[in-house]
Order: sequence, then structure tokens, then C-alpha cells
Amino acid sequence: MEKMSETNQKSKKFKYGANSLVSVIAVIAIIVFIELISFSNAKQFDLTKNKKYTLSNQTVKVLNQLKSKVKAYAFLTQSNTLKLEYQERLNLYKTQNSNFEFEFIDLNKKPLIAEKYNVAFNGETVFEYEGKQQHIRDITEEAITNALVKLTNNKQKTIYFTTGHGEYNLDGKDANGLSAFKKYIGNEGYQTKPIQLFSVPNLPEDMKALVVAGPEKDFFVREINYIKKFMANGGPVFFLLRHDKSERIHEMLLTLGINTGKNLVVDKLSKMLGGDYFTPIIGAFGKHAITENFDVSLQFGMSRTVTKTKTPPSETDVTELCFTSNNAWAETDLKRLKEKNEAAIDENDIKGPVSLAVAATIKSPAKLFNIEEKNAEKDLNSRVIVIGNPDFISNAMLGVAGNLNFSLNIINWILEDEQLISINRVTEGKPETIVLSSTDALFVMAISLFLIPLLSIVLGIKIYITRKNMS
Amino acid sequence: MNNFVTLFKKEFFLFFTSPVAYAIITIFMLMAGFFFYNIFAYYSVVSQQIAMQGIVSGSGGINVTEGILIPFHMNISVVVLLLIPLITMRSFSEEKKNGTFELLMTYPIKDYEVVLGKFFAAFAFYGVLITLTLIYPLIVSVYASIELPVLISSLLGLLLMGAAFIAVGILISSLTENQIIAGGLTFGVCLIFWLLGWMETEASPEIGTVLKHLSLIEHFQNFSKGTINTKDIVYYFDFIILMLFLTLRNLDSNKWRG
Repeated sequence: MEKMSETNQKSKKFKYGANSLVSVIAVIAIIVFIELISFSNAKQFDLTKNKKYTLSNQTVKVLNQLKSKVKAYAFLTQSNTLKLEYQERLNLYKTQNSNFEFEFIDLNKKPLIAEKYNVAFNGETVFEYEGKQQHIRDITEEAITNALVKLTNNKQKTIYFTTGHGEYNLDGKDANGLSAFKKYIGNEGYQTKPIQLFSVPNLPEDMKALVVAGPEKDFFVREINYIKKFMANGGPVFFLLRHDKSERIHEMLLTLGINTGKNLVVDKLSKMLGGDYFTPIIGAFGKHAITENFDVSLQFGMSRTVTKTKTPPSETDVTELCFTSNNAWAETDLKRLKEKNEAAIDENDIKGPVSLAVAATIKSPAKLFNIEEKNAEKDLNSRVIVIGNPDFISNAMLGVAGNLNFSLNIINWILEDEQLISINRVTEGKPETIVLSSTDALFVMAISLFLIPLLSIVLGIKIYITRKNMS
Repeated sequence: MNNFVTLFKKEFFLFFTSPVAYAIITIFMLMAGFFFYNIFAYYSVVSQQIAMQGIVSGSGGINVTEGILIPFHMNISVVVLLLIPLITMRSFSEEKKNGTFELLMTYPIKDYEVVLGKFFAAFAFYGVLITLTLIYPLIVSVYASIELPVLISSLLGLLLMGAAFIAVGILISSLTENQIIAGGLTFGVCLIFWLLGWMETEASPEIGTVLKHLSLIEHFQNFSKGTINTKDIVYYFDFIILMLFLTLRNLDSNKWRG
């Protein structure tokens, strides 16, 4: 009888236990289900004054046009302080369109993946879309959205590099080669091709920009005419000139209000910093879209000055971009320098800071070159960059200081892609400063550190004593 | 419902009859005051640098909401993690130890009324703590204007996160009669739920997302910066409901386990 009641009790306990377990599992299942729904249908309300955590309308528009998957690989080390902010921003993109996916990859832990994607920079992101890639080194909404715009744009722009005059080799892997530059341009979503201007019957139709990278020999007149024709049709040209070459290019640039000096820049500061007298350091920049927010120095190779002429034509808008320090000068006595390897500043030299690069926008270049072009009446503008040395984009120097970012900014600017989309928002208003006087500081300290805790102690003791007395 | 109100009142006022409550308030306000003063003084130093040298590196556009309020509430969330076990550890454990638990169970009160009464009493006490911290934004507002919506969002986050911690505390307190064990375990479990998100980077992306979603602090971070996300609210409610449901199941099991 006793045994039966024990068995009964056991079976009752088992029944209750099983019931309890089932109800717990059921509730957990319901909660998981609710979580899944709420996670995939989350709505966010941004209560900040400047709507800091809301995507701009431009970004939303770009995201809504994404028809297939975009994957962003953000290469950041674990300790990168920007990770959280970046993650939140990418999450907003993902929430807006599920076709946008992202993944954080620790550069230190997975160097092989970084190598696979040609990533060397902590904070670089690679976007992949329909087999195309786009790299960015900034975490702003503007940078991300512009990368998406470039990716979704079907037409890939082609940049041609002149050959046949002893230029730096686009595919060269040696110190003077441009293979690294080519790779980074590719990362920006552009295609690169070589061109021998003297042997082509016509300029290629897909040529969106022309780069003249350090020719040793001068260009033929026919080639100069091709360049003028290209510019007359609104084509941008990026000149990187050696310090004592390219006379015909020099003359053509003079007509645009750009003077490439016949000199060699000597920089004592560079020597002091462990460089060479002939590798000037650039620490000051002119005001221009290319150098906007640029706060890293540059290091050039053997350079000539590139300046705005005293009376540039009214059609041109020339900005001097980069300047050396006061310790540098442009040595004009190249003969003595070559023969005796001596340089000293004298009255014929140009005292520092000297300009080593210019950016120019040419309005109606056809009119300026006095050539007739079918598109001349369209009033096209051409963008021109002239830099007094080709070394800074070479494999040996591209990674030095801010050379890479500067050269990519140039490429984006000449192709008018420097800001496909400008997201203007008041993210940083006037700083709200609180400068405490010593009395104020004392007041705040007295209240927060002493007064309030003391009040609760006094109140506690009083109530405790009162209650003790009562009992 | 009347039972719930009566129990709630009893539990809530019981807090204030014990010196422990005042010790908790004192420690809380002392720590909050310490964090606030440090953040405020640092902000003032940065402000002085800006006033003297123009914008200093990395300080462009500083504002009191991001420079004082958000870091202050993040620090408060750590203090809350430390103090909530002290609030909840006595709720069931004390009754069990004093032998009043069985008595309570024999009253014509439903289990859920008991659980809710204890939960809301602890939550109300926690609410008092959080209300007391309003003095600090008030001090800031003497010198600069604070973004009120962000403050409200951040306070809402603190309340929801605290409620989740309290729910854990109530559950654990119902499991043991030893207050020290209840307090220690509550702290441990809350800490685990706090740190889950840290393992995100070590895990695969899918598991990492789940771990991050389970982390209690991740959801609070959204509130603290001024964004209210429906998934954060739902998560906290789900978490609280699950913990309270498990507490109910545990109370129920006491009856049939004998």
C-alpha cells in the first residue's frame, strides 16, 4: 500500500515536472519566435538633434536601387577605436536594404584574406558587387555611399597612360614601376590601359583621362596636338614631369597659365628628417578639393617647381597645391649641380616655400588652344594636374607618407568623382563648451561628491535610529 | 490585483525600513557623483583648451550630450550591474530563510501576484535610484542645454536594463535561501549577459550576431546615444518575461516537489 502511494507520488511529480518543462520550452520557443520577428523588422527612432543615426535621403535612394547583394569587408584591427561607430553605420545600411551585407575582418588575425583583397590599411573596406570591387579608407556615410554609387554605375572609366617616351612603366614591379599605383586605381573602380599616342590613328573613345607619367623624351607635335584635342573635348590630363625634360609639354602648359620651372628643388628639412636633399617634403597645401582635410605630409622625388604664371589666361583657374617648407629652394644652376654636385641658394634661385604641383580647370580649352573641335561649342571644361616629379607615385614612394591618398584624390578629382554624392549635414555644430570657474568647480564637486551622498547617509541613520527606538 | 498592490506596497516600503537601502543609495550616489564629477571636470578641461587654442584634435563639435550625458550613463550602467544583486538578493531568499516563504505561499495570493509584487517593488526602488541621478543633468543644464529626447531615451534604456537585471535577481533569489549566494549568482549571471557581446568577434558572424543580440549592454548602448529601436525594447521585455516566468515555474515546483 505504502509502495503504491510512493509510486503514485513519483508519477505525479514526473507529470508535474514534465508539464513544467513543456511549458518552459513552449515559452522559450515563443520568445525566440518573437525575437526573430522583431530582429528582422526592427524600426529605429533617432531622437538626436542632428539625426546623427539616420541615413541621408541620398543614401536611402542609392540603397533602394541595389538589386543584388553588396558585401562589405571592413578590415579593422580589434583595437581600432572607430569600429563601434563604423559597425553602427554599416548596420543602418543593412537595415535599409538586406542586400547590403558586411563583415569585419581583423587585419592582424587574417592577413591572408587582407592580401587576397589587396588591403594593407587598417580601416580599409572592400565592397564587392557583381564581381566588381571598390575600396574606401574612410568610414563616413559619404565615402560608403559614393563607393556604392561607383559600384552600381555600369560604366567603368578607363584611364590611359602614355608610353613610348621612357615613362614609368604601368606594369613595372621595380622601384620605378607603377604596378602598385595601377592596383590602387583598380581598387577605386577604374580601368587602366597604356597608349602610344604617336601610333594611334584616333584617340580611343573610352579614354576618360590621360596620365603622362615622367616621360624621358619629349613628345612629338602630333602627340601634343592629340593631348590638346583630348582636352578640348573636356578630357582631363594628369602630368607628372621630370625636372629637366618635356620642353613641348612645358610650352603647352605655359599657354594654360602653368609654369614648370627649369630647376631642381633642394630641401634641407628632408635631409634633417632622414631623407635626401632632393626628396622634398610637402607639409603645406593650397585650398582645393584634392587637399581638403589633408593633414599628412607628402614626400616627392627629384622635383621641379610647378607654379601659376603671373598672368594666366582668364579661361583657366589654377591653384597651387603643394608647398615645401621655408628650408627648401629651387636650384636653377643645374649645370653646377650636375658637374660639381654642389648647390647653394643665391639670387637666381627661388626661395622656399616653393610650389611643386598645380591643379587647373580650363574653361573652353578648344578656344584657348585655338583648335576647332566638334564639341568646342559645348563649352566643355578640362581638368589638369601638373606635378613636378613622377617618383611619388612609383612603387618605391607610393606608400610613403600621404602619397597614396594624395594621388588617389587626384585621380578622383580629374574624373570628377571626388564627391559623387555630397552628404551635407550638421553633424558637428558649434562646440558646446563649459568653462568652469574655480567657484563653479567647487560647487559641482560639493554637490556631486559630498552633499548628495551625505544626505542619504544622514537620512538613513535617522530612520534607522527612529525605528530602533520605536521597536 | 488588490493583492498585488498590497504586496507591492509592503515590499517597497520594506526597503526603506532597512539600513541596507540607505547604504545602497549612499554607495550608488557616491559612485555616480564620482563618475559625474570626473566626466564633467574633464569636459571642462577640453572646453578650456578649445577656448584657448581653437578646436583641439579630435574634439571638434563637442557637445554636452555626447561628452557628459552618454559617458555618465554608461558608467551608471556599470554601477547598476554591481548594485542590483544587493537589491534583489533578499526578495525570496530572506523569506525562505525566515520561514515566511511557506506562509506566503499559503495566503490566498496567486504566485504571479507574489512575483510581480516583488519584481515591481525592487524596480520601484531602482527607479528611485535612477530618479536621483536626474540631479546631474540638472547641474549640467545650469551651464549648457542638454538634448532632452536623448536624456529620456537614455533613462528609458537604464530602466529597461535595470529591470532585466532585477528579473534575473528575482529568479535566482527564488532558487536559494542564502542571500549571499543569491547576490553573487545574480551578479555572475548579469555579468555573463553583459559580456556576451564581447565574444562576437571570436565567433562566426552568425553566432556573433546572436551573442551580440543576447548581450544586455548592447541594447542599452542604442538607448544611451538617443536611438530607440523596437528590437531593443522587445528584447528587454522578452528577457524580463522569461525570467519572471521561470521564477513562477520555480515557485510552482516548490508545491509539487513537496
